[in-house]
Amino acid sequence: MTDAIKSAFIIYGVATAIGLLVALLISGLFRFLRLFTKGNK
Amino acid sequence: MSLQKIFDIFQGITTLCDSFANNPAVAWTRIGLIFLGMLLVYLGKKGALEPLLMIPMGLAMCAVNAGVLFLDPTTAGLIVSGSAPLADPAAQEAAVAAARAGGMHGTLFMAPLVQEPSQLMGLMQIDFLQPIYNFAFSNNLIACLVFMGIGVLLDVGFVLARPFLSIVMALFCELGTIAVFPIAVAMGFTNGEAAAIALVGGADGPMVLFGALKMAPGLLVPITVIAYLYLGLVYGGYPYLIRLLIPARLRAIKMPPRPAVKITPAEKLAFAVVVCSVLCLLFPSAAPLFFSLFLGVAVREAGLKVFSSMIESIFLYGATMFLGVLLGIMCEASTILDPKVVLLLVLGILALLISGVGGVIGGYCAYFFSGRKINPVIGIAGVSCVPSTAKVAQKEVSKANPNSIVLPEALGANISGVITTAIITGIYVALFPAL
Repeated sequence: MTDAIKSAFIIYGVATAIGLLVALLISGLFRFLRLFTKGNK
Repeated sequence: MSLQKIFDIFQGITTLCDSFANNPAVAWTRIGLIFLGMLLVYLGKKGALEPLLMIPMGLAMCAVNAGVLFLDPTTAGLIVSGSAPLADPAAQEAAVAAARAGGMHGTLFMAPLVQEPSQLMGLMQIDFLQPIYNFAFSNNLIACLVFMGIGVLLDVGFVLARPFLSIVMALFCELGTIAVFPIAVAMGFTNGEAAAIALVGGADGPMVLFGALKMAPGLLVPITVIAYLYLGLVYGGYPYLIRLLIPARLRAIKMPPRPAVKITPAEKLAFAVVVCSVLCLLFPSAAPLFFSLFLGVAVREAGLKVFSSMIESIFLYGATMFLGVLLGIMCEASTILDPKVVLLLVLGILALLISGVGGVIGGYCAYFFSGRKINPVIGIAGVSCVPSTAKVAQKEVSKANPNSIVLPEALGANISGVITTAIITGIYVALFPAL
């Protein structure tokens, strides 16, 4: 049980980190693409 | 003609009488499941539950529980020797003896637990749904086809417009997917089984199917059936949860208008390619799911109309129909009578409830951190039942204030919910593989 709770915390931590990474990636990618398209104009 | 011959004609009734004599629980469950199947068809027709899934599923439940016959010794033998051994050795021996004597009950639809290739080939000649089960269901093809269809229907522009808000809301909604795992372990389930039932909290049917197949093949049937039955609760139960936890004055909040950001299809396509590659790199075990979802998104955003109409109208609807049929067929009395099913029923509803509460907590966090500008109802839309929870959120907000529109933000959270549930499925599958 204690192990399972510990695992649950770790899994949630990893999922949160990956989720935020995806958000960061989306946000960064979006800005990069905007810069790129503006640069082309 | 002897009486026995007449009984041979009406084997459905004979096996029912036989069950009443030898195992009344099975007989009553068969009758109960026939009526439950009828109820599902009725609720599907009324629109209370998803008709695309519930009508084939309900009809299949009626058919499989009514059409029970005495299997011939060859078929029965194939099933017994090809099945996963029963937990109780005495029950296994009794099954073998009944199979040899030709007194074993079964149907000609399919045998979901048969795994041995040679025996499988024999059964494919006998059971009419066996090829669809083995070639499309038990290898997750159906889940992936449904996911492809979902991808074609998703407009990821809602996530791109507010990525952090959407993803954070979705992460709060994964609370049930995480919290139920240790509870299930404490109840005696293995790590894989606990993870598979916890995934019900993600409210995403194909994901539960994928997870159960990878981590708890022995409980695939009850977990998947429970997950799909409970998906209806998202539509029926979450409005009450919203009304209970969020007062009307907060539900009525009109969010300040944001400058419209035009997101081009090329940007959405780039998003699909980059995020798909990153997630497949991180979680190869869940790569089929990520690939299928983002393939649908890519096809839509690349403007491949021929492919998108094929995926949407043929793959998605074909897969949904057979998914419903197979889920119903798997609701046989003997499968449902597993004592673990009651625990799974409790854990499944608990997972969905905790996820909903987690969503509301997320909504409140967004409300406070935004200076009381964000409507907290959007939090619950992070539960990834696309697009039901987003629609539920907008419906509840509209009831409190017809001028408040939260659908774009709710859809962003909703689509992010699919991504976060897939991430958690990937982590679980990587940590607790069944094989």
